[in-house]
Amino acid sequence: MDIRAQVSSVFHLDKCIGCHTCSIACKNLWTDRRGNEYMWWNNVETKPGTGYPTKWEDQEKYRGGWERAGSQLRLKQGGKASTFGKIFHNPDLPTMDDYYEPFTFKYADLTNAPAGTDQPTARPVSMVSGKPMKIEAGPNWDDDLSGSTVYAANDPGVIELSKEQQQQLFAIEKMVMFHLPRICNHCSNAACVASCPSGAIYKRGEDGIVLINQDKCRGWRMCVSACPYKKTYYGWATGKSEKCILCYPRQEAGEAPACFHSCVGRIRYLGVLLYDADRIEATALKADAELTAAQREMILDPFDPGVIKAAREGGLADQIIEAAQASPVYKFVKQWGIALPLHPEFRTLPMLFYVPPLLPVLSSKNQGTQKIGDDFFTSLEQARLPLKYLAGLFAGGNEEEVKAVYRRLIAVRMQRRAESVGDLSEAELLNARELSGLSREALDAIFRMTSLTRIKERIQVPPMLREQAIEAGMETDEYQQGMGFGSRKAPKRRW
Amino acid sequence: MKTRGWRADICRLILATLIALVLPGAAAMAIEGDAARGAQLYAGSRAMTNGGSPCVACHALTGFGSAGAANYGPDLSNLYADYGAEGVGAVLESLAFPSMEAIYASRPLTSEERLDLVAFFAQTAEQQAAPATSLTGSILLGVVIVFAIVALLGLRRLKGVRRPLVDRVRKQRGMRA
Ligand code: SF4
Ligand code: SF4
Repeated sequence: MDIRAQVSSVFHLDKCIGCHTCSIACKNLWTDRRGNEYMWWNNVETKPGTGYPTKWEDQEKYRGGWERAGSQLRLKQGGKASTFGKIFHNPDLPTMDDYYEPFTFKYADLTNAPAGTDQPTARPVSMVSGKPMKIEAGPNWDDDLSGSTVYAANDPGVIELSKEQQQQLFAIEKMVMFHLPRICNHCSNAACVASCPSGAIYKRGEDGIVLINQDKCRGWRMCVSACPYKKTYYGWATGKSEKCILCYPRQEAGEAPACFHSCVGRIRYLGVLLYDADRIEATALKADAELTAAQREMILDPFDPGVIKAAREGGLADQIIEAAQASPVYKFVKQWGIALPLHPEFRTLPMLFYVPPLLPVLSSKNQGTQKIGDDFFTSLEQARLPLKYLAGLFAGGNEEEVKAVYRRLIAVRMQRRAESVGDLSEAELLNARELSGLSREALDAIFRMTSLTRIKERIQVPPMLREQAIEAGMETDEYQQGMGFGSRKAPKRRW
Repeated sequence: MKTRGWRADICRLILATLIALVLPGAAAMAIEGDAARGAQLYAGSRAMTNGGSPCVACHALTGFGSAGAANYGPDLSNLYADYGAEGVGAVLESLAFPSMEAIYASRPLTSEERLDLVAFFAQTAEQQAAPATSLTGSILLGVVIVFAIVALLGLRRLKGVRRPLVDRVRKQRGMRA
């Protein structure tokens, strides 16, 4: 057993209101620079939709992530030899149009335009060329189903559905959507790390945050194509690739990452998970439908004395083990089993988990009304968002995984309904608990965690123990005097 | 440097005419040089006594491949066939070409070296090897091939996802692109 600690997250999709506050917080903090205009380390997509960059989930096009080659894993874009062969012409990069051409508006014209017969307008201009442009795409172009007959209809998950299901999805009165906020998943089997010819990308040993060393990056952009979530970006002004850093400088100061901190819907949870790094390869080699369960299996119980012992032997500090025990992410993923990884079939073992959206409790039959209780569980098939679609997103196509989560979420709602409205019988509740496999206390805990917690409970930034990490490598005063703020070299290539 | 090229040509023509006039019976003269030594002198593996540069530095000759095909001076593959032993011997003696004079006026070839070289040229004239392609030509060809391979590989490049998607949907609905 090789126990590692990972700062992981859970996003509760039923709570996301699609306000993009998270994206703006991130943009203002990290990517508000020339050359980074198009980058959204945090972006929020509307589903169904094609997302950002367009159709990023379609690996037949973008060739990101891993695939099984016999008993081994291979990057879909090709192994080492193939990477070397195309080092000067990576053929799998998204174009600027697939992200979007970043734009701004000539606001000054509103006040400075000479007097005329018309109201002055602020024309859109490209942030790349500075020339006036026609806006045809944006990082949240799918918002509120805009262009849904083009974009939502071509969602890679929607294409998989039957014609009937598609029609049902798009029938105007039953129109359904939800938001999907995305950041780098800080995967335990990160494809970006494996693809980098310069060895510039690494996963921090102490907390699993995946970072690109800006001094070592040579701008080959192999990570851009290898990441199936398209979460590394090439900065054309510096000639280096960049990605979400999970706000590690904020975390080292005990603060929540900016997108977590600013989240209006309070959908974001953060905490430490312990996992067994020896099992990574075996887990990633599982069949699509088994991946979600296998990944859950890889995550270890921080209360298990055997695990604690092995973690100590592996050099994990007691504070980290304590943090893992307090982690809300552990509860969501393992104890309650209501959070699933996004697209596990990309085999990068993403360490960001989602509580799938239950959406308004309306079915696609009976004018959208539904009797609560027995009906509720048996009629999951009639949910407005086809289970197949959700299973394609969160469980490698395994509908049972999604159903299990929904049974639990519905049980929570029923228990709350019994308490606040009082129109459900104890027998119905018992049935609900049995079907969900969770106790009354657990259902209550889910309710509390998802609706009544304060930020410090939702977001448990672990002690980052920088001193220990530095001590392991060099003398602390040598570090302090020698490194100061660390590397502050300006990139050679600058605008 | 076009001028140098044609001046060299004219000089060569004049010289050849002179030789033909002055030495009518010379073609019959025996060749006594050592071709092997001549080859070494030509290629520079044996130094010229007076310090002159080896021929290979500026000339091309059949049998020396692309790397030995310099194009500063004219190709010497047909030298012997065109001028014969006496012609070549005489040229080597004076080397009265503007670009060669500067080098060889103060570092003339010895008579033995001349004979060796003549013997060597005679020998190469007998071997009807394929003419050497020029180095520039080979490099150009190589560049073209590399570009062709890159272009072929580039055919399966991802050429955009969003634009083609939107275009396709518009076409399906018979809308203007
Ligand atoms: S989401 Fe992409 S960039 Fe982030 S760790 Fe995984 S493979 Fe790398
Ligand atoms: S800030 Fe929170 S609620 Fe708003 S879009 Fe981002 S994740 Fe969703």
